Amino acid sequence: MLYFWKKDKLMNKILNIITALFIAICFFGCEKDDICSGGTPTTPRLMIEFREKDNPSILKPVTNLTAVATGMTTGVVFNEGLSSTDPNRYLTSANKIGLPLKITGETTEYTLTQNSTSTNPAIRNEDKIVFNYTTKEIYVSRACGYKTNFDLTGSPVQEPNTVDSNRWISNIVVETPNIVTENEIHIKIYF
Amino acid sequence: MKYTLKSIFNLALVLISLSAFAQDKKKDTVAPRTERYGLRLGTDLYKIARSIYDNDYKGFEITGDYRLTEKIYIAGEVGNENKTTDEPQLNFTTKGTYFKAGFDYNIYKNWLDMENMITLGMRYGVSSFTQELNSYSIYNPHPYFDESGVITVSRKYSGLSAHWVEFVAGVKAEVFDNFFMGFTLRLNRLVSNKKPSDFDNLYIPGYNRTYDGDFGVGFNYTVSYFIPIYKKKNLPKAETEGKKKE
Repeated sequence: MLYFWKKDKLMNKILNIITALFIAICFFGCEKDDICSGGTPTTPRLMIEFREKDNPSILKPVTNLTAVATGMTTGVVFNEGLSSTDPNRYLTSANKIGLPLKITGETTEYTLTQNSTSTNPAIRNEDKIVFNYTTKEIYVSRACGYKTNFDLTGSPVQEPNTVDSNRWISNIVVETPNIVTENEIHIKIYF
Repeated sequence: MKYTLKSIFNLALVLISLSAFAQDKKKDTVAPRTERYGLRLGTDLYKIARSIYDNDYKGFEITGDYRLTEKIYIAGEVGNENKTTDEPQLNFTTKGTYFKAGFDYNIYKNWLDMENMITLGMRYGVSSFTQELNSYSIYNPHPYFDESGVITVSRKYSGLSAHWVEFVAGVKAEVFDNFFMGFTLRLNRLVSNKKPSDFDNLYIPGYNRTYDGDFGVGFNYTVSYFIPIYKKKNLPKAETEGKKKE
C-alpha cells in the first residue's frame, strides 16, 4: 500500500489534504467549548463600595460585615476558600463587596451587619436595605446559556429612622443603575 | 469523536480496497478506454442510521452527481434535518432543509475500466430553518438564592437562514455493478448566518453544529447508484499522457 502511495506524487498530496481534514475534524471535535469559562461575563452581582461619610473621597472598610438576604439563613459567602461550617466564610472587612440579586422577582432585601462578631448591642449594628430593579435575560453562549442583567429602579430604600433609630449607614448613592458587569461600582454607601 | 473514529475506519477500508485494485496494474492495456458518463444518485446512510438509533434526530440526505468531463463531476446534496440538541444550559430543536451544489474533481487514475474515485471539490450550501428554544438556564457564577432551576419555554424563531462554502474530500468505490459506496469529509465556512434575536444558530441543517468562529465540519457516508447515459472514448492526448507516466 505504501509502495502504491509513493509511486505518485499527486497521491501524496491528496493524502496530505485528507490528513489535514482529519486533523481539522479532530481539532473541532475535541474542542472543549461546553464549559462556561470564568472569564465570560455572566449574571453580575451588585457591586457596592463603602466610603467615609465625612470625607466621601476616602474608601472605608466595614469591620466584620455580614450580608444576609431576607428569607435566607446563611449570609453571602465572602471567603470561598473556607469550609461552610466556618463562620468566617460569611465575614468580610473589605471596602468593596458584591451582592447577588434574585433573578426571579424584582426586589431583594439585605441585612448588612457591622461588627457582626460582637455580642455588644452598642457595637453590633444591623441595617436593612431594599433594592428594587427590573431584570433582563440575555443570551450568552452555548456553554453559558443565558444571563440576567439588572436595572435599578430608584434609590435603594433604607429602613426609616422610626423603625431603626440607630442606623450605621448614613447615605446610599446609586452610581450606575445598569448592572451589566462587575467591573464597575453600582452603589456607594457612606457611613 | 464518534464520527471521526467511524470515518477513519471507513477510510481505511476503502483505501485498502483501492490499493488492492492498484496491484492489478500488469493487466493494464494501451487500448483507448471507453468511459461511461451519467448520473449517480445516492443517500447518506449515516443520517438514516442515526434517525433510527437517536430519538433526538430525524434526517435524510439525497446526494447526486453528474459526470461532466473525464474528471469533473457536478455534484450536490439536498436534505432535511430535525435535531434536538441538549446542552447543560440549553435545550433546543432545529428543523430545516438544505441544498448544496458544486463540483467534484476526480484525482484518482483508474486501471482498466474501474470507476473508483478520490475527489476534491467544493459546494455552496444554503439552509432555511427554524430554531425552537425548549428550555434554558440562567448562568450564575455566584449562586446564593435557591433559584438554579431550568426555565422551560417554547420560543420559536422562524425564517432563519445560512449560506456557506464547503471544501470536500471524498472517496467512492464501486462495490458491485453500478453500486458505489463512499464517504466525504467537509470543512465548512459560513458566508452568512441569519441569527435569531437573543439566541444563536448553534446547529444549522446541512452545516452541522457551529463553533465560535465561522468554521465547521461535516461528513457523510453514502451508498449510490450510477445510471449510465452515454459512453465516450478517452481523448488521445489524455492517453499519451497516461502512457508517459507509466
